[in-house]
Amino acid sequence: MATDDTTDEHQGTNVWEDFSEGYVPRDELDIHPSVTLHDETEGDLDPITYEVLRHRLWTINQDHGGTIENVSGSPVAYYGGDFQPAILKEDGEVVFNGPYVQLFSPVAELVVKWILENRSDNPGIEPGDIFLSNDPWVGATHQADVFFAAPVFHEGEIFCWLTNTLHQYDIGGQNAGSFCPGADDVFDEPVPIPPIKAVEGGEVREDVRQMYLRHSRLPNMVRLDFNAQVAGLQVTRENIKGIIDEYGAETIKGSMDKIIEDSESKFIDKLEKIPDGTWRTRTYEEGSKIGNDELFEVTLQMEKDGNNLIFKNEGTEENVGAINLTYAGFRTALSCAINPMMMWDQLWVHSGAYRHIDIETQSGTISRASHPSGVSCGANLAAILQISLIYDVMTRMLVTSDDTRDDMILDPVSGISVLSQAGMDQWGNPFGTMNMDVMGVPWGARSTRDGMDVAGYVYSPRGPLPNVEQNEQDYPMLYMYRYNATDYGGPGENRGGSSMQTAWKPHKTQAIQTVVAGSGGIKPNTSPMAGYPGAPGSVRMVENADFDSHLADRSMPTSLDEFDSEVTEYHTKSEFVQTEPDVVETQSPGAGGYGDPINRDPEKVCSDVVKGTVSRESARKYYGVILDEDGDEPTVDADATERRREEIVENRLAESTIPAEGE
Amino acid sequence: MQIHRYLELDAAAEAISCTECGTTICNAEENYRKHSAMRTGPITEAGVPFVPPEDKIGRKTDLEFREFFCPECAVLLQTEFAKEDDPIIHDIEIDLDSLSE
Repeated sequence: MATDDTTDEHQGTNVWEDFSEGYVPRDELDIHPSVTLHDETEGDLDPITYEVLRHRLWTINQDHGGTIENVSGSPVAYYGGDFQPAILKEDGEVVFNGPYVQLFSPVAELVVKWILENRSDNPGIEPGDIFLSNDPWVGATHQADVFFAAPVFHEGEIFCWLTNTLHQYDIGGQNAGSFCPGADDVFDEPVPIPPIKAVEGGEVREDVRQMYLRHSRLPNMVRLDFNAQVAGLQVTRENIKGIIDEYGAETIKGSMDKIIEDSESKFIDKLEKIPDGTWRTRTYEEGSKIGNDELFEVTLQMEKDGNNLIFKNEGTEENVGAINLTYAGFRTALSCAINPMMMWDQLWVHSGAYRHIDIETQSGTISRASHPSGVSCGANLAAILQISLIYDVMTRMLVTSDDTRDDMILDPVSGISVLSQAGMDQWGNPFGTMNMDVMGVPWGARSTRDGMDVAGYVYSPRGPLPNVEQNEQDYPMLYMYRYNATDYGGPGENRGGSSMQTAWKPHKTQAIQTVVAGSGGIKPNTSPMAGYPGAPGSVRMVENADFDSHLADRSMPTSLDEFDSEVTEYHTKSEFVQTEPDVVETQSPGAGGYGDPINRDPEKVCSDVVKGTVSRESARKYYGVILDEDGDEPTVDADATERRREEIVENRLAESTIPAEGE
Repeated sequence: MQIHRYLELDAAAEAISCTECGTTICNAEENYRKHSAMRTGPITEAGVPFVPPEDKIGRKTDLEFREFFCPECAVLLQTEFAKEDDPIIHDIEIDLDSLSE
C-alpha cells in the first residue's frame, strides 16, 4: 500500500486523459515501489524443457478456458467461444491466449498495465486479488466484454498475471443485451467500469459484486459468469504455482520469455521477406445509429517499414453515434488478422508481433473514439469493420512474397449482424442472449484454394456454431431451416466461402425483443483481390406468417417466400419485436473470391451449381460457364462456355474507360 | 515481384505489368487502377444477391461498383465500392527504394 514518503515518486498515468482518449502504455510503466515484479529468468533453457513447459503453459491456459465454460454454463461461452483466458508476464505482456475469440488478449495487456500504473498504490495489488474492468478507454472492445485480472505472486513479487474475458448476457444500457445501436453517446450505454478490486486476498468483495450485478437485467446469469471468471483465475493461479514449485520460477519465466522471443523472431522473419510499402483500404459504414441512413467513410493505411508495421486512419470520419471503436478495440482487432495469418506456427502468440506495431491513428475518429462516444457496439460492429479492413491491407501485403502468399486468407468478416434477443423463455423466466447463429460465416478465398463455407470465425477456432436443437433447448425458439446459401460466396478463380441462412419463430412465448447491431448491410466492407466480393448479410422478418398451415400440410418452409406475407428487411442498426407468429430470417455475409472467375475450372463451377452453392445465373454471368441440362445432372457445355467467356472479355473492354486518360 | 494476383512489379524497369499477358500497365509509383480499364455500375452488379441500397436503408445512395481490368487482356484485377465522386483508392504502393537496398 502507498506510504506518504513514496507518493511523490509514483504518479501513475493521467487517468482522466486515459478515460477520454484511451490508455496507451508508455515504454516504462510507472508502478508504485511497494509493488515489485519478478524478472529473474533462466536464459539458457534446454530445448526439451522449453517445449515441455511451452505446451504445459498452453494446456494450463486451455484448462482455464474449460473452467469458464463449465462453471458459467453460458451458451455464449460454450457455443460461441466468446471469451478468452490469457497468461501474461509480470509486466502485462501476453504469453499465451487460447483458441477462443482473439479479440481480447491484446487488451488484457492494456488492462494489466493500467492496473500496475494506477492501482499499485491505491488500493494496492496483493496476493489473492482479482480486478474487474470493462472500460473501453482502458482496455475492452465494448462494455459487455468484462475482464477479470489476477496477479500471481511468488515470494512477494508479481510473477505473472492471469486474465479472462467473457461476453456478458447483459450489463446494462438502454437495450437488453447491452448492444445499444440507438445510443447517442456512452451515457446511453452500460457504464464503463475502470479496473476495480472485486476479490481481495481471495475473498469476493460483496459490495463490488453487488454494484456490478446491479447493472444487469439478468443478475443471476451474470452472477454465474462472475463466479466462472473468478473460478477460472483461482484454478489457474494454483496451476501456475504448481509448475513453479515443480520447475522453479526462473525456469518458468525463461520459457515465457522464449515463447515471446520466438514469436518476435518468426514475425520478423516473415516481414523481412516482404517489400516495404504502403497498403490502403476504405469503406463506408451505413448509419451512425438507429434511424440514421448516412454513409460514414472509414479508412485504413498500413505502412511496412523494415520490421515494423504502422497503422493510420487518415480520412476516417469523426466519432459519431453508436459505431465507434476505442484505441483498445483497434489494437486488439489487429490480432484477429495477425494471429491466423502470421502467427499460426507460434500457437498464435502475438506479443512478438506487437513489439513491432505502431498505431498512429487519429483520436476523435470512428476507429479511435474519444469519450463520450457510443462504443457498446464496439466488439461486434466497429471491431468487425476494422478487422475487415485489417485483413484487406494485410492480405495485399502478404501476397507480395512467395513465402507468405499461401498464408493469406481474404477478409472473412466483410459484414456482420449480431442479434441480441430478450424476453420470457419457454418456462416463464426472463432470458436474454446474443444469438450465436452469427457464427455462421465463411472464410475468404486463399491463393491456393476456395474459401471455406460456413466455417465460423477464422479468429475464433474454438467458437462452434450451436446446433438448432441447442438454441431451441435454451431459448423459446423454433427453427424452420438452416442451410448454406446460394451465391453468397464471391465469384473467383478460387471461390469465396458461402454463408448460412436460417429462420425461426418464437415458441412457447408471446414475443422476442430483438436488437440488430451490425455493419456491411448494403455492401461488404472490403473488395477482395482480383475476384468478386461476397454478398452482404441481412435480417428479414415476415409478420403473421401462416406457419400452422405448413405444419398441417406436414411441410417445413425453406424460404420466406413461401409465406403469403410481406417481407421486411431491417437495417444493420435497428430494433423490433418478433411476436409469436412472426418468422425472422438471418443471412450471414459471404466472403470474397481470389482471382478472375472466368479462370475458374468450369467443372468446379458445375459442381458448385449441383451443390446449390452457385446459381446458374451466377455461373453464366460471373464465371462464364454454360451448363448442358439434357442429362440427369448438368454438365459443362465446353463450346458454349468458351464463347461466353470470350463475350465477357469483349464486354469488359467495350464497357470500360481508362481513368488516367481522362485526367 | 508479384504484388497482386495478376500484377507484377519490375523494379529495374520501374513498371507494373499484367502477369496474364505481360502488358505494362503503368509506372511503378503510379496507381495501377487509374491505368486499368474501369467499368462502373450499380452495386447490384457485384453479385446475384446484391440488392439496391434503397431496399436496405430506404433511400438511394451514390455508391457505385467499380471493376478494374487489364486494358489489354481484360483479366479482372480488382473491384471497389465507392461513392461516385470519391477518388480511386491507391491500394498498393511499394517502396522502390527499399527494393534496391
